Amino acid sequence: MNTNIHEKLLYKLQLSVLMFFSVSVLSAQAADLYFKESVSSIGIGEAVRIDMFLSSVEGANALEGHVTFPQDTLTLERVEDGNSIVSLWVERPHKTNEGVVFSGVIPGGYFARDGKIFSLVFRGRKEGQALVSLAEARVLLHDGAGSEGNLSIVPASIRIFPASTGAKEPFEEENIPPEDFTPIVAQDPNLFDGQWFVAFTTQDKNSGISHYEILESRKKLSDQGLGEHVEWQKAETPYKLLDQELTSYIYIRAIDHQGNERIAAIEPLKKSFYQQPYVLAAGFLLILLVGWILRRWLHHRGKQTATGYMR
Amino acid sequence: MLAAGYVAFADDFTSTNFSVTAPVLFSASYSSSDSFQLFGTAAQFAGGSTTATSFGLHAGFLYFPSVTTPVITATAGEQKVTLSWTASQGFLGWKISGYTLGQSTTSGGPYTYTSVGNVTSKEVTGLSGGTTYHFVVRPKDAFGNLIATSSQVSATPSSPAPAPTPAPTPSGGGGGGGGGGGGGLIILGTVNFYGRAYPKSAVTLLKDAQIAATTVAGPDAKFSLTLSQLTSGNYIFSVYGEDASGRRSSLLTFPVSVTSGSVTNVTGIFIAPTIAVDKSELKRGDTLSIFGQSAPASEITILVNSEQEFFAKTNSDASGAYLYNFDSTPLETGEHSTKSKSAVQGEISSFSAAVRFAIGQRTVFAGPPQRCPSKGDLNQDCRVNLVDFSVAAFWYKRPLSAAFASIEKTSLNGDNKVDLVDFSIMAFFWTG
Repeated sequence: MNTNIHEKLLYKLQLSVLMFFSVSVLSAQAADLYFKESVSSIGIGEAVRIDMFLSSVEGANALEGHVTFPQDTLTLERVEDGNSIVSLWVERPHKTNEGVVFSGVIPGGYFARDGKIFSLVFRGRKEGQALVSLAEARVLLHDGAGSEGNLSIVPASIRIFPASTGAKEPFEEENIPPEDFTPIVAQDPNLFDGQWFVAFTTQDKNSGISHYEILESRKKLSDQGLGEHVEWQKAETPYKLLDQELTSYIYIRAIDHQGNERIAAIEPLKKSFYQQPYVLAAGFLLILLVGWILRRWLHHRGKQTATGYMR
Repeated sequence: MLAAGYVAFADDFTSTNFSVTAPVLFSASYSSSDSFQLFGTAAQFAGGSTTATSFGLHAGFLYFPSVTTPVITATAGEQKVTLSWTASQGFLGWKISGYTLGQSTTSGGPYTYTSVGNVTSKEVTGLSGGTTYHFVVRPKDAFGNLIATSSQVSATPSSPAPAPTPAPTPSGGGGGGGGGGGGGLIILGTVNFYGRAYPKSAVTLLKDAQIAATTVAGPDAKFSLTLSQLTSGNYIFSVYGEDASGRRSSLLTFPVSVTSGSVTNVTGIFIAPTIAVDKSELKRGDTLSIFGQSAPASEITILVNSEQEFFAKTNSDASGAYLYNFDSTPLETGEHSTKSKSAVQGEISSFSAAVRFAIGQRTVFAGPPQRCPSKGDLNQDCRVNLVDFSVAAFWYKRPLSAAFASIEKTSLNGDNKVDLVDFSIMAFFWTG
């Protein structure tokens, strides 16, 4: 136990020295990417949340890289992009063999400090010291040319102890759905061979977007119908529409990591053949014509019957 | 930045026939005591310009160190106010070293100032519920001098909720069965935006890169917008204006943290001027008209980027329009650009987007106002939005088709691939 206390003190001292030099460097950089952990030490099996932040007073609008961590001491449990300053992900943060890869943009740029990019939740796997850092990271300036800014990186360091440190589970239950959003239906000769597609994106201010689903339906569906419908398809933007006639209702469902969902609906952009005004007019005329013919026939038949009686 | 106590001589012009030494700065240090403060002086030429067939001499101290005033946000909480602001941008040697926060219960001050360090947010606690507090933020230069003051932002913190009264003990039998809690109830927040654009101009507000609201500024260029029904969290808001000729401003972006059930006020939004030039190419020595629109009666600083930077000042008229005739004599042959910013009533905007022109062998007049973004508009609909992003995302890290390679060349950076640089360009020209 004493060893543990000494190790913790030594670790805190090391971290303080690391932070001191890192912060000294920060002030001279165009952009800083840094990690902030919920606790500095965990036991094996316990979880820690590590948030990645961007500070860029000179203005940055794009960033990419991959988060590295020792896979023998830490297990990545979740990647959450909730409450991120990144409005549009080119590559939503996700786990690969290289670590957690991400690439995103902030339209209009970010000219402030401490903007959250995403969170990673790790669980302690083996005793030791784990450094969570970045590789091949770059931040591009908001200058209209995509110039690369000087970047400083401050990693996070987590100590994993064999015994429990009493770290609380870094999860909070929430019932807040993703933000409202408006998908756009469009076509472009350089995408899907000019076929119609739908583009969509939204944010979730808590656990982050887990995934999107899409449903194309000839019929308008009620909230209950949408809930019960089983034909939802997992989708990513841009999504090539199945109904290229654009006569279907399009429903897009954004689902966060806690299962809360937001549905955006698009009315059919074109009327189906049977809803076209000229088809309706032709149908009306046809009904009139049939009625007129029927009336003539009945009239004629009535005359013939009367003549027969006369005979 | 000139260090205190220096006397500096800068050689601006030299030739075999003449030499002009200017400007001359004396004693740029600050002197102060309990009863007075003396700022250093800068000597300069007398007003006016001297020209000859072989050279032009421009009088005046043409360098204007400046700083943008922060967009400031205040969110009221229980006996506290959370403040955040955009980082001030210093130009021509001014480097921001930190901020001072002013607080008052009287609108307009006087304020009590507290140094908060080089941060862009601060939570002010221990406030009285129901009292309206007013705040300003003042950036400091490298020497700790206060160099600008933000707009005032106000917030009224709430009083602490009264402690729940213990329920009376039921007097036997039955009981109410309880209320079941308020599960599922989501309390939402509201954000009010106040700023300046151009007189009677269309103003567009983006929330997390998507258009959220539009309005029209008043004749004084001021506008306000309200967004309600916002869930608690961090948002990136951006605004842009469209001037009387249909030119769009650059985006002004600021982060806002919304708290459930609270009203957040955002002030100091000052949209950068629009800018255009009358010629895309001109001969050296010809006059280039630089014009655009900003808030009425504002001081416009124009920067011409060259090997050497040139600065000029002019004022906008009652309609916000400004015009400056720039003598191109000092410019070398080749590509140049110009941009402008605006100052009025202590507020200073950021710089506009840059407009390019060339010094060459002929005169080419610029066409009608460019209403479409010069880059990033992949589908040529005069907007850079989710559709363009989707098209670019489709080609991300893929070999380009011949047709799209041609678009990438004209609308992105022309390196025959789509990568983060292209998305950065789109983010700069974003319209939503």
